Amino acid sequence: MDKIGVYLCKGCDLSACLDLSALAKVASGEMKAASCKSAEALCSPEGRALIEQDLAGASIDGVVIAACSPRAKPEAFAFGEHVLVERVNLREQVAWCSKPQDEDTQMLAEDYLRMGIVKARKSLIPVPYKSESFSFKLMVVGGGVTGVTAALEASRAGYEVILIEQESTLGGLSKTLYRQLPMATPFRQLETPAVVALIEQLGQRPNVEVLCNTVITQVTGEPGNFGVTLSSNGQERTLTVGTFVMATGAKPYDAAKLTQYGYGASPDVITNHQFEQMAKEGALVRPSNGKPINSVLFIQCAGSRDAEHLPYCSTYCCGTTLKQARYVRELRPEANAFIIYKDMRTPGLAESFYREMQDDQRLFLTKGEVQAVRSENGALLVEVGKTLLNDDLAITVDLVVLAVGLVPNGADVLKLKYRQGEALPTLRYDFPDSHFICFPYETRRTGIYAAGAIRAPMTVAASIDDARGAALKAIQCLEMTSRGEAVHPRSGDKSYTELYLSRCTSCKRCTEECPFGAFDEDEKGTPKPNPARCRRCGICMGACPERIISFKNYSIDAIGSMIKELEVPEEDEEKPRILVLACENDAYPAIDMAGQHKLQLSAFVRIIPVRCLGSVNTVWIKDALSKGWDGILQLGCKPGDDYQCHFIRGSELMQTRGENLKEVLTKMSLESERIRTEFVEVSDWERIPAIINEFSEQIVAMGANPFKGM
Amino acid sequence: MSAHVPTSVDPVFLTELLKAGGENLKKCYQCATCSTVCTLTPDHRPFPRKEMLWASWGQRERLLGDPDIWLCHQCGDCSVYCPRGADPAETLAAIREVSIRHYAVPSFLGRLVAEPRFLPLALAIPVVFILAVLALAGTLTLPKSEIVRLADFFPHAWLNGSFSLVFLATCGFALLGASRFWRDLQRNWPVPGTPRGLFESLLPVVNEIITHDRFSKCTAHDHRYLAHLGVFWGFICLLLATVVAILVILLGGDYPMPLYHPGKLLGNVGMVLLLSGGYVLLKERLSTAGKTSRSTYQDLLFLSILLTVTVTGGLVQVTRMANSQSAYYLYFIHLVAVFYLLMYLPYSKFAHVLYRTLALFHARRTGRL
Repeated sequence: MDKIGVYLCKGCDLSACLDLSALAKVASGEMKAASCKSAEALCSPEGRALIEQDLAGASIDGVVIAACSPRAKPEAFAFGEHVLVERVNLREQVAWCSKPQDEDTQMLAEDYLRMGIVKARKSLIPVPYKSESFSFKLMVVGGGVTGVTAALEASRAGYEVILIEQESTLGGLSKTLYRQLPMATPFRQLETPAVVALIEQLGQRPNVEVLCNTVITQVTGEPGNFGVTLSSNGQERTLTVGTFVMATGAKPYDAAKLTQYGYGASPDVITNHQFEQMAKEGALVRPSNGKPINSVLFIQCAGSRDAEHLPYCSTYCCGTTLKQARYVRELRPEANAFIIYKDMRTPGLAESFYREMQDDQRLFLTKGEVQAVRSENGALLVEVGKTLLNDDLAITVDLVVLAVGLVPNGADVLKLKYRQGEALPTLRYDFPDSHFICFPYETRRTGIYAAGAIRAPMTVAASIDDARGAALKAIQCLEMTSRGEAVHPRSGDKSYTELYLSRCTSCKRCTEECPFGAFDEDEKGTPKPNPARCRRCGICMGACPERIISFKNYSIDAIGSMIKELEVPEEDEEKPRILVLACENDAYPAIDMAGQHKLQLSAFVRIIPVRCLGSVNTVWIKDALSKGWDGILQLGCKPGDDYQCHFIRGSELMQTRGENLKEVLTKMSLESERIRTEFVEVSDWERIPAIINEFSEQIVAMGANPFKGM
Repeated sequence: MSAHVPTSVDPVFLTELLKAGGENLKKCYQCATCSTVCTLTPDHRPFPRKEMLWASWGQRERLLGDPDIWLCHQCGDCSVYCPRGADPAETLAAIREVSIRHYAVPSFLGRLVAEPRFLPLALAIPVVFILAVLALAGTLTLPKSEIVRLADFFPHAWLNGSFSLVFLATCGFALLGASRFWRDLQRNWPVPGTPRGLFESLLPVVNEIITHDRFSKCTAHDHRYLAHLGVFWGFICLLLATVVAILVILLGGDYPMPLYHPGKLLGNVGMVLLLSGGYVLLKERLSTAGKTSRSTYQDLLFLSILLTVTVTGGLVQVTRMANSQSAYYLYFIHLVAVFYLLMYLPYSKFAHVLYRTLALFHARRTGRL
């Protein structure tokens, strides 16, 4: 942008804290902005009118708003998609957290203004990416209760759906159930499996195509333009779809591994799935001799919450056992049923059913640890320790049922022809990885949404809810991508990566480090971006050693220029300059919140928001140190197994690159402590002053950057 | 390393408990709020949580010989705090009721007193008995004199003799039941090799009964401390007054005793104590019914009979002094009620004087308390 109009707001304590006329001089004089005006409250109708007038008069083509945080009042400062708006945060990060009418505060505000103007000059308005063809079709993979629900809901929302299922009929695991836990008030009676009715409803939808006996052999492309090859009974078929819902479900844990409970040694030790089939056939009998059972013992957490088998809880098993205890009452009224549990877990609305079953006079529950199961005199003897009955028990029963957990079906069903591999990346226990807290249903492949037991073990009721959520996300992805917009976390972002390929050395860092597999590769190893797959985090930009990647409104040059625009005080003034690169997801909002609470920050600190710490390119650090910044603090979301990073691998990558940074510092004969990384969550806003101010003090103690003034 | 105890469940026993007042006991999910809130439980293996689970599992043997159900004084704190509404206080009361029925000797008398449908029969027995004794004494008609003389209606020798015989038999049956109870206590919670001394164990029990120390720790139904104290001491005073009266008769003293006689005074003080305490207990039971506590047939029957004895006794005194003929009728009712109270002592809620005392004593002997 060439003709930048700068607008200074007087409201929200700004005029009380700062010398706005001095700021105006910096804008018009030093920075040579096309114009600089101020208003009582820029967000007011009068304030907006002032800006709109100037825009209409074509005296300016870009706007710098020096007022509140860019996170505040975005709608007040939107002037249409052809006007670039750059926000300078003089409220939360200057007026509210610094001493008013103070020299250092004034210098802080002036630096921010300089940086904002430079950024505006180096930015362009993004042109949304649109591929030549776009499909609004949704493909649901997996025809169990989750897949059928997702297809049904998407269809009802007006979208064309194609549902594929590898077996010959729809229904999945839940169709094999005798009864299902209640899904409606008062949650006290069992129901017929919901999937039956759902399949019927699906059959009546006009815009749904159902293909059984079908698998995927290949998927290429990007959201809005996925090329899918299907194989059905030897026949191949290709089509284009827009998004996927993955609903391939889970299967029971292999009970053959549970020898400690006698599985395999006695035919009368069975799994809950086998018991379910028995009930469906209408006869609860001992497999060993076919006689009807008079007693049954259920072992909960059989191979679950167990470091040697499945470390996690499968969520559905306690409710299922209670349901099966009801089968016993129905089919063998005089039989006694025992449940030995680690805990009774009834997530969702199953608590009412638990209460219902507790009233059953022949159901006996206790916490305990099953220590042995063996055959004795034709019956099964179960030894239970650590019970609540104050004794170790030996219970003789006809049948033992192991409540086993669920294991996800493979994550490679989609056969993605992506550079990073055909499977959806998994994190823990082979479930597809997603930023679970912020973005459920999301996977590390844009446009592909996981739902139901493939995402996490869950009951039928939870799967149905999950399917609805995932279908909505898939629809959202279709609509936004069709407009060239990114999906979350940078929802609505129209910028995308542009590569200056003539300088590419095919080092493949961008291709491999992108958490979302957005880059494919050609035969020569040159990266090929798929913009619709991109989440616009800029991790590739941070990775590239040749700095060839950039976004129209977020580039190495733009941020680098901001860093180099700093007004560096003389060394003897003893005013250090500390750069804070704050990720926009949690760190920047946390700093804003600290400001909203009027917590005071050192005025030597200048905060530049980045999309992700992973997008920080090493050249920025080098430029900062060469310019004379005394310290650099990187604030972002934490990495690791329970990561918080909203782009999944950004802060982790930044840590690895940090090793290289240490080299840079050593080469420059600088202390490695001049650069620090701290991981914060938005709820850590109270800690922000301590973190920043403490680092500031350390830098002061270290002394000025020797490159200052060079 | 304890051996695994072969464990069987008794659904019939569970049904008994459910019917005897523990109807919500299956709702318990073992959170232990009850044991945490209880001010009377020792810290080691506290009650009532384990009793709730044993009850759910129909553990007959464990519960019948469990001293802890008698350490409970049914304050009701546990039921107030129970998050599931499982009513541990009412459940323990039900276990006590079933326990009393279990140790009843002979068992048909236990059933007679326990079931509401037999109430007419249970009342008929003392009526028939007294009428029979009167017939034998030859005084089955009301005296014609203007001055009311109860001894003309029911001669002292016949009265004291017949009642004593019945009471002796009752004591015998009670002892039989109590010894079985003691044996079961021993089995579940054996007295250790070196137990606390007999006197050392008995004295604190006597002391806490006299002071109602345990009652004073309860918060939910805190009226019970003073009210039961009144009922207890009222009863003791009336009992002593009766003993004094019998002695006076035997020693040929002035009978009926004048109002200023210490024996008479003791009796009237006892009457006032029992009436006020019993009134408060009954009123609270009826007003909180279904809200924070439940009363069973046994609870209300025992209290009613006790109050009937006291009220009729007081009325007899007044009507006799006023020389009203109604005194004879009231006297008859009074004696029926007294007989009911004494004869059915081992089978009604009254049996707690025996079982609770034994359990407290056992707890001291074993070091549980």
